[in-house]
Amino acid sequence: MEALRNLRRRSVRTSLTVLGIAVGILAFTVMGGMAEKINMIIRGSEAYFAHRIAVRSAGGSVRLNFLQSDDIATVRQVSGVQAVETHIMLPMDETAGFELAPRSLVGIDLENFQRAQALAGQEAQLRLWQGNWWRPGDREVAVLGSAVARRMKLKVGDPLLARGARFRVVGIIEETLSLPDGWAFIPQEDARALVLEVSSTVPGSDVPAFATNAYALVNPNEGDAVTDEIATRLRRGFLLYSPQQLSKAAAQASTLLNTAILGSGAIAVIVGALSIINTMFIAVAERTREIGIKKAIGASRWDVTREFLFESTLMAIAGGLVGVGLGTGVIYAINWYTRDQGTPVFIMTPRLAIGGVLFAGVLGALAGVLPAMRAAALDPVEALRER
Amino acid sequence: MLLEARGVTKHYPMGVKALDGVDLSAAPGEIVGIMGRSGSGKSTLLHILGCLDRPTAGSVWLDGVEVTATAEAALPAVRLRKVGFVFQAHNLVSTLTALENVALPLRYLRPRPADAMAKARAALAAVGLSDRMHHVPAQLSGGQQQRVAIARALVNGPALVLADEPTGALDSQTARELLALLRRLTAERGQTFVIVTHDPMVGAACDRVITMVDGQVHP
Repeated sequence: MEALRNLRRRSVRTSLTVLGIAVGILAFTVMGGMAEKINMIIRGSEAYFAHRIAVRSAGGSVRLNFLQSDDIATVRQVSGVQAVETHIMLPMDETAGFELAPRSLVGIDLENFQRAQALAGQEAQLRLWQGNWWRPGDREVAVLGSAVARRMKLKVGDPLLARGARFRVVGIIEETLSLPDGWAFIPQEDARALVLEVSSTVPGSDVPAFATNAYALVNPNEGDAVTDEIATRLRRGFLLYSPQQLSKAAAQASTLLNTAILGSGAIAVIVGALSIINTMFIAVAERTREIGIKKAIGASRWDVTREFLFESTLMAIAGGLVGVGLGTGVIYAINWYTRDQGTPVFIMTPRLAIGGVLFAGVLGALAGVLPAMRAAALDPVEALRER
Repeated sequence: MLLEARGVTKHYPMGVKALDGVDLSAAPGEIVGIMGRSGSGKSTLLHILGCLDRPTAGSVWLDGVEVTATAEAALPAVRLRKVGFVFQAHNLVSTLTALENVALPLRYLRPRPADAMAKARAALAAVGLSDRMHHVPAQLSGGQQQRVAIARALVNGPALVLADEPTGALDSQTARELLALLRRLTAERGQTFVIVTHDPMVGAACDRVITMVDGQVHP
């Protein structure tokens, strides 16, 4: 193929140009891998909350308000609420909040949790990878998210030590690449005991039941209306998030992050594309007589344009493939070094790989436009005078 | 007449007159030589006859079509279908083999002929280079390169072949062989050749020679 031979004819120059694009696409791929990870967390959260209205204390992390039995009953009575799932969430240890997949203990009522799972969408369901859920009435047992199991090197049957308590691991959940990977589910009674042990804000140990978070299971398209209704009925001091609000916030966060992360990667590729423009202008200057010959024997402007565009695109796609390959290597290397975090920092996806190569190809074609137009516009008589 | 030029004039800025009212005609199958000193306007005339350049005044008719009145965008198609070019030297695309160079015009034809490579092979065979098909120009002698260029000029079956000093870079023996080849091909195919040359031997091989002086045909 003529284009390949033309590129091979100046192999050093071609290699350097391809390398320029490859470095740009490498940056784009690694940045994109980070965006994909964040997107996955956002998508996972969106799926999780698609059927749920979240209710939690307005006191932030201080938890001024716990949800009492009466509050749960109030939420349950609102028309449109199919069930109420309650959690008692607390950080797994003093530093757990500063991790890539923050580890939390999540106290659940198993029956209540499983009913909610059945009502939630397929995407939000958590599936067991190993072991089983505990049996009703079991205490001091845990089902771990994948990141917790990996980070703490735990398997079914091992003991989980958290907040001074000891739990027997009975199951491990399939990796979701979102928040539940950092959760360790324990019986709600155990979680309640842990809170009471350390908290001075809980009204008293005689309180029969309380939760830190409640989720009203609803039909997704009724979320806003039911949220308003819960807000009017529930006593003050709680924050409510409807699925629509969360979805909107997730979309905004996703757009902002993607723009910032992929934008910075794209700048690197654009710098690489400048080297293609330079290389192609040099090629046009060197091959002026050849262009003159081709035009003399009947090549149209488009024929000439197309040949140079093809070469620039070919170089860019080669750079894209090398860059995606290197980027994938870097992503796997970083994930390998940070595997102790329990969850990958970057995620390489097929769309990122294809997107990287396509992006390079499109930029290559665009970078070739000006040199190709200059070649096509050459006066054949002038071009034939070149030696 | 296959080719007819009437009052062809070419002026450049600063008042330079490259051609001044040139009349020329060539019949099908005729070999016309254009001789003259450097700067006499031979190459400019050849470029205008081949639709590579436009005259300031006058008209050129090729195969019944007034090409000087044809839109700029349509001229590549005219060159592709009706004109073949052979230049003095550096005639070939250096990255392509002899066969690919000959097939080059066919690449630009739409629709591309299904038997493009077969046609190119036949054209190379006609100039006696079947055994050099896969050689790149750097692996061919000057004479062989010119024969490849002739094969390329003929592969589309153009009515008119224009040659600008085709023997200029060849030794006399090779030049003689090339002329014999041109004569044979003209006789076989009935194509019209217009050859610009300094070389009296080339002139002698033509059916008719016109001489140019200062942009005009010398009587």
